[in-house]
Amino acid sequence: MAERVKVWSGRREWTAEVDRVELWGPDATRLLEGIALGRVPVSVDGAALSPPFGWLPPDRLPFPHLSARENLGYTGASRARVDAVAERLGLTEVLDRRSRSLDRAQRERVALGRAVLASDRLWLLDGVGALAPLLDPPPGVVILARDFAGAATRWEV
Amino acid sequence: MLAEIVTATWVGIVATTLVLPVAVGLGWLLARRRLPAWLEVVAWLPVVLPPGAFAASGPGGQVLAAALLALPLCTLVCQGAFLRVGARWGHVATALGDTPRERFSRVDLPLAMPGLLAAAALGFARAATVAAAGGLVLAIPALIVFGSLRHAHDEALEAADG
Repeated sequence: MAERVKVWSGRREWTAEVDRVELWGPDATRLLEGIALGRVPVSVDGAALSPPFGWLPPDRLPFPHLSARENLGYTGASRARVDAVAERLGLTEVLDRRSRSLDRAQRERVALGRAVLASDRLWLLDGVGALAPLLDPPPGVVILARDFAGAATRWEV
Repeated sequence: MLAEIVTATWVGIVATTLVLPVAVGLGWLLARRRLPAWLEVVAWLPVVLPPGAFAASGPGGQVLAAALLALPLCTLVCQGAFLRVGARWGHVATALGDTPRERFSRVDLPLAMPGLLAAAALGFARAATVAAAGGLVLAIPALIVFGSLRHAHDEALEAADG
């Protein structure tokens, strides 16, 4: 099988031949953030990628000054795509509310929706946990995630 | 008396309008970039000088003196506003593909807005007191400042809760 995803940081290098990778270990959050900010190089199918990435940050919070809809559409997704993702995440009723007025579970889902709408190449999900059943990755997207039960392989970082 | 209030008000408004964009920029730099510590000390110095230290004559001179006095205070309050917002929201915006300029206007600026408005009020108060010596005129900006600081404080608590 061909290499799908490669990350290299300092002297270490990680590769995988599959789409779903769990990052495990004390530096998982730092590595995901480094990739997300473009400080740690990453390549998918041999091509180096740069932001935008679908980053779910470790606090899993949406921008507090924007509505749920503005958060989901932050990277310019069409209204139809925002509506579809919102429906899947159970956020249709609260789309026009300010995200600071949402409860914790709703905020996490808004942050997840913002991530999945940001990229169809690479998702960096820092703590999937109970959000796993809500993931509906399009074909071809690579997922690097912490606390990810659905992963096909695992990197120790 | 009325003339003094009018003068203090317009000098305050003009000086604040001139100073605020500079203060927002400098405050952002102080909050987000590593700068030498002595720069911050220099920024604080004019805050502790009495308004009388800046001798001013004529409308232009008054506005200039007022702006010089208001700039450091405004800058430091802006710095505090950006520090309170923190860098993490900017990081999210970067990961989502924003350029530094977009990150500033879409995330840093709106999130820091309550603090920046407080900086404007404080700058106005400082500038207006340069132009007026009357006790009443001194009291009006001071009331505005305490009102806005209280508002900023409440906002900070609310943000910390949420």
